Formats: sequence, structure tokens, C-alpha cells
Amino acid sequence: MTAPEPAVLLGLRVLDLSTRLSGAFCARQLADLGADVALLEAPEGHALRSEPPFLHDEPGIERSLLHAYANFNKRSICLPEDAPERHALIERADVVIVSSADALEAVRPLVRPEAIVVAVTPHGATGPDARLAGNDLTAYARSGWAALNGLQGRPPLKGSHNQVGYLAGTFAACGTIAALFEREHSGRGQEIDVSETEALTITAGPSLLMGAYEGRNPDRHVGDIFSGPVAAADGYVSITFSRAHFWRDAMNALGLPELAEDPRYTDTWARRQYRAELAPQIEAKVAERDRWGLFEHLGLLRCVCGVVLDMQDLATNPHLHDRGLPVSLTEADATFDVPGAPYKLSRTPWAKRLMPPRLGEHTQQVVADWLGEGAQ
Amino acid sequence: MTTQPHESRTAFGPLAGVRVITFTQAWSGTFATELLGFLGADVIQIEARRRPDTWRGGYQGAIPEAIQGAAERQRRWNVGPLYNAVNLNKRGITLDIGDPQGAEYFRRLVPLADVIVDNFSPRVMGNWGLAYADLDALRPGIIQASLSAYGASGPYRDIPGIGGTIEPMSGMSSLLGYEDGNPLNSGNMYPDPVAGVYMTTAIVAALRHRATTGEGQYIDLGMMEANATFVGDAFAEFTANGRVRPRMGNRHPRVAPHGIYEAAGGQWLALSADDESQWTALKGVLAIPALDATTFATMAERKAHEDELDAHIADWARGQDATLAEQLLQQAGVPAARVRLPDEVLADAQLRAREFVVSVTHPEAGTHEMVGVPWRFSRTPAQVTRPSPMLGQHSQEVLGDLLGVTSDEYESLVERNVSGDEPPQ
Repeated sequence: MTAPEPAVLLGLRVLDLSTRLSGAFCARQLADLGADVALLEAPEGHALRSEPPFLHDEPGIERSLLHAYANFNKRSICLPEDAPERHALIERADVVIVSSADALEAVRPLVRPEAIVVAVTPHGATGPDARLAGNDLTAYARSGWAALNGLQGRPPLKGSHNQVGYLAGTFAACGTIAALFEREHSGRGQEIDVSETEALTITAGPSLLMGAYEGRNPDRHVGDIFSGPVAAADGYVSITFSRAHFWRDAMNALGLPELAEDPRYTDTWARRQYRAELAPQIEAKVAERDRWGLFEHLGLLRCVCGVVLDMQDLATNPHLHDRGLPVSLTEADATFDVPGAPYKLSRTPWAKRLMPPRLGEHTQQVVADWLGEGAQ
Repeated sequence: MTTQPHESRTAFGPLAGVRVITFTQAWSGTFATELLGFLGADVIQIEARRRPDTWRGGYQGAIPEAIQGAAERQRRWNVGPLYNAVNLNKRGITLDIGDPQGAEYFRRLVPLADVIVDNFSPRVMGNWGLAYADLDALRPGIIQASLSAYGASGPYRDIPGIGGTIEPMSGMSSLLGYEDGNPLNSGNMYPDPVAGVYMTTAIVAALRHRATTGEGQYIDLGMMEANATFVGDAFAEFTANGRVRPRMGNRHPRVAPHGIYEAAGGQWLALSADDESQWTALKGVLAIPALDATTFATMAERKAHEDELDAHIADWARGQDATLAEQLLQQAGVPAARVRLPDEVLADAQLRAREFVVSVTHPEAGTHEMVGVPWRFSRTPAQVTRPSPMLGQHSQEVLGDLLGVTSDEYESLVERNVSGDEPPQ
């Protein structure tokens, strides 16, 4: 392992026994901060190696882009289920990450007292549903989000692909680092149990309490400019009018001065009752403008406007490139970009250290580093 | 760690002994600091009377319908559901940093803090003379964490943004929606908690670095890029394959069936069969002979004939009681869930068995069940200990305990609108 700059988790050994995106993404975030993360794979490979998208749409164990994204910065060890090294690796780890209640129970007797064991599972490792099958779809249904997303008169809608795995993985990484911080004082380990469903449900918290205070469930969107993106001349934009000056300045900028000055519309909450008559007028003006022109014009007025970026727009966005977000990965001889640092730590920066590992690429190296003579 | 001369409660959680002073408002930043509070940090959140948190809903307006009369005294700004949903475990003070005396009190608080958090536009803290170098001079080793729409550098740095505009700018809206429809924003600003949990992660990482080295640091988080990491596989699909991922509704790129189907009585049922064993189990429950056709024999075949497959399942679901169907499917090993309406979510037996649902009593809004902590730590549990603070509720307590401000001094701050618990005079 080379570490070009100081890293928060340098010297810590993380054993990634995950079989789901959530655990894998948790482990990768620890690797991003410098931990030595070993991805322990069975001979058929980590579950994410079988998930699309695949490089040039050809499935293959070294071709999953989801695997590449969730597992870069890690080393891969491939061992059969009954290999003796398996237990030894668990015993050496500072952090062990699992994806099921059963795996948690299997690992529990093997770890050191100072180890942090993290279980990220669909419903949590305890409770009546601990062993129930679950995925993004069930989490969206149970959290209330499916009922909140989408449009009135259409079916409930889950979030975009893989959201629950990314979200629960991030909560798990956060909790793991907190436990590692605490271990600096106590010298002791512990278990952390994260439920994918709970991770998603906590993000519905404001809608749930709003419903309770108002005595009725929040409505789904109607699909107008007050609820999200609408068509511009060359794409879509979303404009928010949550402050008085946003409304006034945006209406003037769109060539609707009569709306800007009408006292009935000044207050955000009062404006709601006129929504059906206001929305078409505003949307007609937006439809005449190009999306980046509106973004710049409203930005100068310090109004909030967002352009809907599709994946091409996002991957080529000048601001993200200026910030250094995209990082290059190589898999199966192809090189492509993925989003890198989600935040900038001034002293201990996020870093890409290792390419996505080939299955078992580092088996000997990790076994030697972790279990060899002189290994602690 | 910070010494706490007037410990006001029992320490708990992995961050016991850490003190956070925060200017966070609305959701992304307040969520980050609420999570720090769940983890046991002493979180003191600062508002100004002339500019209270927008999520309080303003000084005017009606008391929300279902809580009217829940307490003898109800002030509009203390009973905003959005604010009260995301500020648990904090003490709330008012202190106007734009006032020289307010700024002076803040400078005296800084040495007592481990972490300072804000979600202002990038220039605000610097304009107040509170850039990282200033704070580090007041408290060597301090951690400053700033969350903004686009981060502290780059061409968009001075452009404002919120969840509703970050969702489109991060690529999320382009992926959210029905297959035949426009891009959509989520039901309630999902990008805010995404940025928030990343901010908490970065702060906890910085705390651990400080625990091992004594060094503080500055954290710059832009909501746009934090959220863009949650579409990483779609991003790679473009950069590697040149394909712009379309909106997929409730479908999955590999799995079929994978959908939300209308059941009897206007209910909805989510179900999928992610592998062959789940497909076999699903067929067993559905008992539809047509599903034994060769066109549904493999996952690839099912995906290729997904419309036809969905039509069969939709026909079946229409006659089903969603609650019973959920049970049958779950018992068979199929991922399935009835779609809960918001007011049904916290009745879930699994969430309750894990004590994820907490009952919180707020002095002016009454008692409500709320979502709780997203982690079960076996040895140092995270907990919900306090309702969201009322405006300035802890001003006198915090300024008195930490800075020795006397009652007379506090009263003069109230008279000058620098602190207090009401709209400015």
C-alpha cells in the first residue's frame, strides 16, 4: 500500500465480508480515508460483480461498473468458504463488515475485543424481520418514500437505482468512524447494526412529522414548477421560490413583472392558493429560455435555480471538473471516470489509491501482510 | 476533549465529550449536526432573532391544525414541523453575530468548542472574520466544517442552491421518474440528508484524526458533488459506455419482475424476484400457469418480456389485500412490502421492535412519535435525548454556564435583540 498523503484511517485493517452494495460502499469509504481494506471474495466473486452496468454491456467477473465503483481502493482476496486463513483474517481485523444477521453471528465469536463489527442489512440484525428478504424497493415502500415520490394520479415511485445501498453504506461508514474515534479513548470494540430501511426512513422524517402536525398525509407532487423540474427550451430546470426576493427577482427576470409586484403572491405560503393559475404562466416563460442562460441569470440575482443534468451533463460539468470530482478507474483495460471525493478534508484528503481489484488479485499479498511473519 | 465545567446531562455515545457549535439551518446542515447529537456530542445551535431558521416557518402564520391546543402557550416559530423534525438533541441559542457584542460572545465560545459547523454561502464566515485561520487562532486544533450548495471553490461557488435545485444539478432528478415522464424531484428534498450524512462522516473522521495527532482541519462540502457520488454507477455507465441512463420508474436494470403494483382498495404492493429461488417462490404464491412459459424461464428472458410479465402480476395484484399478500410473499422468501402512507410508517412492527421509533415531547407542540437513530451501537448507544429546541430556549443557560454571563448581562442582550427567545422588537 502506498499512501501519498496523511490519511485518517491509515494502518487500520478492514475486512469486507459484504454481499450487498451497502456494506461494500461502507468499506470503500473507509478505504478512501486510508484504511487497508481487504475484500474477501468467494470463488464466484463478490455479488456486485454480477450486477449491471457492465463494460460495453458484456457481463463478466471483471466487467461490472458497479463493482468497480463500490470496490476500488480495496484489495481482493479470494478464498474458499472453508479456508483456514478466513478465520485468521477475521481475527486480525480492526473492522469487519457483514451484510446479514447470520454473518454477524458467525463473525462475532472470532473477532478481537477491540474490533468494530458492522452489519448493514435490509431490515436490521434484530427484530422479527431480521432475516426477511429486502431491497431498495421494499425500503422505499416501508419508509414512506414511495408514497411521497412521484406524481398524483400515478403509481408510488421508488428513488433512482441503488439509492438505499449508497445511503445505508454512508450511514454505516459514519458510525464506524465514530466507533473508531471512541476506541481511541476506550481501547474497546463494539458492534454496529445498521438497517437499510431505517437509513432511508430517517430521511423521510420531516414529511412524517409534517403529516402528524397537520393531521393529514403530505400530497405527492403535481408536476408543476412549484414542485420540481419543468421544460426549458433545451432541457429542464427547477426553480425554487422559498424566499420573497427569489419570487420577485425571478418573476422580473422571466418577464413577468406583474406577478413580481402583486402583493397576493409575495408570501410563499399564501401563493399556494393561486398555484393552478400561476404555474402555466411561469412555465410558458421558462419554456422560451435556454437552461444555462436561466441558471446564470438567476444565479446572478442570487435566486436558486437548478439545471437537470443527465449523466453526460454531469460527467462533463466544468464545475465538478474544477473541483476535481471525477477520478479515473481502469477495469478490463478500459479507463473511465467515476465521482470521487464527496467532501474535502484539508489535512487528510480523500484519495483514490487503488484500482478496482481483479478477483483474488491480492490474495497472497494480503495474507502475507496480515498473517505473515512479523504481522501484528 | 473539551472540558465541561457544568456538565448538564449524562454522557453517552461514541462522541461523548465532544462539543459542536453550529450555525446550521434548514435541513442538510441541521441533519449533520443532529446526527452528531445522536452520537453523543453536545450540540449548541445558534440562530439570530432577526433571521430564524427558515424551517421554523417564519414568525407569522397559523399553528398547524392537528397540534392546536397541545400546550397552553404555542408560538408559531416553535411549532414548525420541519424544524422540529431535524434538530433533536441540540441546545438552541440566539446570538446575533452581525452585532459586535454578539460576535464577541461567539469568539469567547470558540475555545470551548471542538467543531464549528455552518451551511452559509462560502463567503459568510470569512466576512465575519471567522475563516478557518481565525477560528484556529482562537482554538488551536479546531475543526471547521462548511457545507454549501456547490462548495468553497469552482465556478459555481457563489451561486446559491438548496435541496430542490441540487437534486437536478447532481444528476439525481434525471434518473428519478416514470419511464414515460419528465425528470422529477423527490417528495421532499432527499439531497439534503445525503449531503448531511456525508458531512457528519467527514466531521467524525476529522475528530478521529485530531484524537490521534492533535491536528484540526477545514472541511469543505459541496452538496452537488456529495449527491453526485450517489449516482456513481450511472455516471460510470456514461463515461465507460457512452450511454445516458434513462428514467426507469420502479424497474431495475437486471431484475424482472421489480415493481409496485396496485392491489385491492387502492393499496399498492412492491415486489421483486432478484434471483431464481425468489422467482420460484414468487410463482408458488402467484399460482399463474402462464408464468411457467419458456419466455419467463431465465432472468434474461423475464427482463426481455417484462411488460408481459408485469401485466400478469398486475392482474393478480388487483384482487389482493396488500397486507395479506405482503405476508404471504415474505413468508415465501420474496422481497415484498405494502406501500405505507406516511402516517402508517411508524406503526411498523420491525421498526418498533428495534426502538427506531421514539416518542418525543416538545413543550409547545406536544408528544409525537418520530424517527430515531440510524445505528445500534452495542456498547456506546446513540440516543434521542432532547426535543428540537425552541427559539433561544437555551440562550441564558449556555451563555451563563459556558461564559459566566449574568442575568443582568443577558437581559441587556435581550433588550438589544442580540439574544432572546422572541421575534426582534
